[in-house]
Amino acid sequence: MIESNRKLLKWIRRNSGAAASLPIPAAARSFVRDAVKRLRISVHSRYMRKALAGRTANLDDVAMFMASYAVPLRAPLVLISQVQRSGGTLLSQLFDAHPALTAYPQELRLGFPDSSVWPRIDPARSADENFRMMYDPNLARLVSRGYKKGEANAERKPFLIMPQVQYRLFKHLFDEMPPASRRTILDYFFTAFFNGWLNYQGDLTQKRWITAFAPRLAVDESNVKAFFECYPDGRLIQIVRDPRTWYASLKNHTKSGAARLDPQRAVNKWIRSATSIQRNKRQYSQRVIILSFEELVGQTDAAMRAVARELAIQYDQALLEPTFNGQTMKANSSFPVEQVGLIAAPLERGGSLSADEQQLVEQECRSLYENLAKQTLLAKATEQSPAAEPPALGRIVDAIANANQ
Amino acid sequence: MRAPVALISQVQRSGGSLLSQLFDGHPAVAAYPHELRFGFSMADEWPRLDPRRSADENFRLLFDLKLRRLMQHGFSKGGDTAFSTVQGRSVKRQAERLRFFMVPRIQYLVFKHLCEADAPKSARDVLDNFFTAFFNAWLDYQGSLGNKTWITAFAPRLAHDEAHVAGFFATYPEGRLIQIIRDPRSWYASAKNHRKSLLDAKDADGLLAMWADSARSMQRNKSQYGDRVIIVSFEDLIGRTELTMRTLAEALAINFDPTLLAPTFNGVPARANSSFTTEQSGILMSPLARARNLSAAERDMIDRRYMKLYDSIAVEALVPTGTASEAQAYAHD
Repeated sequence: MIESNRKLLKWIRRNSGAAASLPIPAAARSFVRDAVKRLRISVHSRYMRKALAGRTANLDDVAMFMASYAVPLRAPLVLISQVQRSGGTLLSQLFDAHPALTAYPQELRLGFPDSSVWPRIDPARSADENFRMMYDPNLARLVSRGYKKGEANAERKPFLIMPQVQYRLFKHLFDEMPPASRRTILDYFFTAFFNGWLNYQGDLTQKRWITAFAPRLAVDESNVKAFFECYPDGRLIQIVRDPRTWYASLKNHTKSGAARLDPQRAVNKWIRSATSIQRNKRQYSQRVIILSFEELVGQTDAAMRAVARELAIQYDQALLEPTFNGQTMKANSSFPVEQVGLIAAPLERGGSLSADEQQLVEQECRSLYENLAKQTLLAKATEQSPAAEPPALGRIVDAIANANQ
Repeated sequence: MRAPVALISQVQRSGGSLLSQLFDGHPAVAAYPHELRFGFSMADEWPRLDPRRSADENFRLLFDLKLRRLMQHGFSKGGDTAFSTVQGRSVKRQAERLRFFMVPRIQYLVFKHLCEADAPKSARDVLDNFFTAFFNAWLDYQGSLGNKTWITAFAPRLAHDEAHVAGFFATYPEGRLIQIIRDPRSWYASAKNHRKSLLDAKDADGLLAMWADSARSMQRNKSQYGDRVIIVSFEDLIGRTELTMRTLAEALAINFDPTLLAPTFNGVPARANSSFTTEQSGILMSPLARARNLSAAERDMIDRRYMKLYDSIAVEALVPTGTASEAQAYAHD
């Protein structure tokens, strides 16, 4: 009814010019004018009621619009992965605002129900099955609560990722052009994710890489193999952190069960991660980028310039400030944090360990750490141009020693 | 959002959409993306708001129902047809649809919540709540709403009427009215090719009378409100965009930002809203030469009847402050 009345009004408007020249008595003309006005008010009121009740111009319309005008994402993935408390969140947030990068904002938890394995997606499976495997149901809660990372960020940021839009777009892409490979399924997934993230800040047409942080995923060899099978053009970034400051941070991280681990088990976690970095680097060479947490925090500019060069993207000031969807974030630290942006305090946390703990870390991790520190992006760059500055790690240690004096 | 409004208003086909889109990307500006049309049967009028009315009633006076269609079909300025100078007729053009997710229900609920949480005491409070609700319900809005010092909006013809301008300044004493004056020759060439608006049904006299109404309103508004009315020349806006936008930024006390030089819609480069076929985004120079499409008789008629009025307003226009050589080069064009 409302639609036909709207069409009638449109027809009247279109033909009003011609009607003006017809020999119609003034009284009849006035009657018609009043009737048309009443009809307009009635149609307007009905549409208004529908719109304000959310029965039109709602998420259904968003999903339908997306089916025709979504921006396809085919960019390869830069996966950040190592043991937690090593700066993965920080690096992910440093990537967030770069115009050529689109950063997955939350820890990437694919592979439902076990997010510690690379998802066993399969083009032979239905859109529904594949989607359920990759979809992170935790995200739905963030729509009403807002995004928050770490205890320091009390303020919740609006994060409007609409599962309904995401799912419908994924299904639409899947049904329109059934994927021939696992990579295509992932392309559809990320296309649906970033288009379904309604308040995403940035231009999706300009993206060269998708970045995502998946803690621990790269510790397992088969996960890394599956990742590079899906993304032969992808990159794996692994961050190694000085085991002393790492352990101090872990001990204070009450949110994860890791804080309750006995020292030996905790240290074993670090060792497994560090060993995986060595293995992955050996196996995938240039496609694996090693960063040190100390470089990332203490020499952010140099480290991020080196990362930008590796990823063949332009260096941008945005790489120096941790953000979520373009908004400044405080550090996701296990310790109290007052200021937004980068903080240097994590570099000094090693002093909070007991003598026994220090000795354990020293014994079990020292040589492995020193070996990895020589393979970081900045260490390699310094090695290639020895006339430049002293080794990064040494300089940071000196800086901390000076600061402590 | 408590920022005042910088209202752009004059007869259509004068660059209002362009100026609105040049403001779009500036970090200190929240640009209302579509023509500002308040409420039902009150387009072109300043709304008669009353804080004593219910939130519901005030919202219905302000809400533009047309926006719901933008959400469904995307934003497209300039329509799907345009005049082709090559073919000498109106032709279909490729529709460019930009996403615009402004959810009326969210806007309504936010507005209602704000009015109920802190009952508005003035029409200005009602409008502050309205714009707060609008920009927060625009889900894919690009930019940080916390940093806005101006809301800009384009409301064609609204400033023609003295009472509406008085209503605007009563609500926004610290507001600004920006009016663009366009050479009537190139304006007429554009207006007579514009098929979508109410210009379509008018003959030459009717069209030019609208231009003259607009021009006279600028004289009146400027004499009445002084520095709060800023007159900008369309020719400067197109031909000397940077100098004009720098001067305008200064007048609005905002930093000059390179985004002021590129027309965008929610940060995405926007195609010109031309009556003629164009596929290119950014600022087109061709509108400056539109007068060439007029017949000798049309030119003669406009010269005789309207150029004196145009000249008298052009001297009131904001003077882009450029270097001497730039000014000289422009004078020789």
